[in-house]
Amino acid sequence: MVSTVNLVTGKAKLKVDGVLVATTNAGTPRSYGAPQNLFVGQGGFVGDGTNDFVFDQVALSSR
Amino acid sequence: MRRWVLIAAVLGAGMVGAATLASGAVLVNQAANPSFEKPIGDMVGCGGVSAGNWTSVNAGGATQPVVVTSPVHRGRKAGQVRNDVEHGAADVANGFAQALPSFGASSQISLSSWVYPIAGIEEIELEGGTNWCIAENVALSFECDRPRRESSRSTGRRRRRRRRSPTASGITWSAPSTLSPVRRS
Repeated sequence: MVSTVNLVTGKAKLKVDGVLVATTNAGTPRSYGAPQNLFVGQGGFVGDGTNDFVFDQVALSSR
Repeated sequence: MRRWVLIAAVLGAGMVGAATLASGAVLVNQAANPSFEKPIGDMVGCGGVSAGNWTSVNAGGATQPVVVTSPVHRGRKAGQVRNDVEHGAADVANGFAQALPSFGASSQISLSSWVYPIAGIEEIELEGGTNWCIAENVALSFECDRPRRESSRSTGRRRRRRRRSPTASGITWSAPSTLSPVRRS
């Protein structure tokens, strides 16, 4: 099974000590093999080196 | 002074942050345990993960992700993914993952998270497939321009510069340009 997700990438603006705001752009549908996973952390190939991030209030919503 | 940054990005036509549509409908967060307040699953290697909660995942030899009590944005806990390659950890994928329901065709997805960048590059990803190690994904990648924790808080000069310019805040944000399989192990 493949799900088609209508991907619309965000354009981010950073604001220190506050909120980062993203605005939407027109996107392109992409196909995923189902089911899906949500992942936070270090991904990709080796070569990222040392990294350290803290995540909170992770959200995923669909419509 | 600590720097708190809320990172939010959109995959989909939804509104960021408030997660409220223009029509008034409220988007429901499908991420379980979004603030890491509940105990998470034991660490696993490559393969599948369960739905309903985070599982600590590690492709092998990386520093184990942990739940921490500081820094946090809301609540009492947050998830920290730290891979100390400079001190012997394997440079492989690690983090937290959870399975999601399959989305319907043409679903529009919104992803967001608060992040506290300390070093390196990390991501939030929506993945396809059953193996978190080998999955097509769309990743929101965040890069910290400071190589080490110590240097991030070493001088007031850096803090003042960040306040003047968002682009100097220590994070480079990038959205995906392609969807391609990623093999992590």
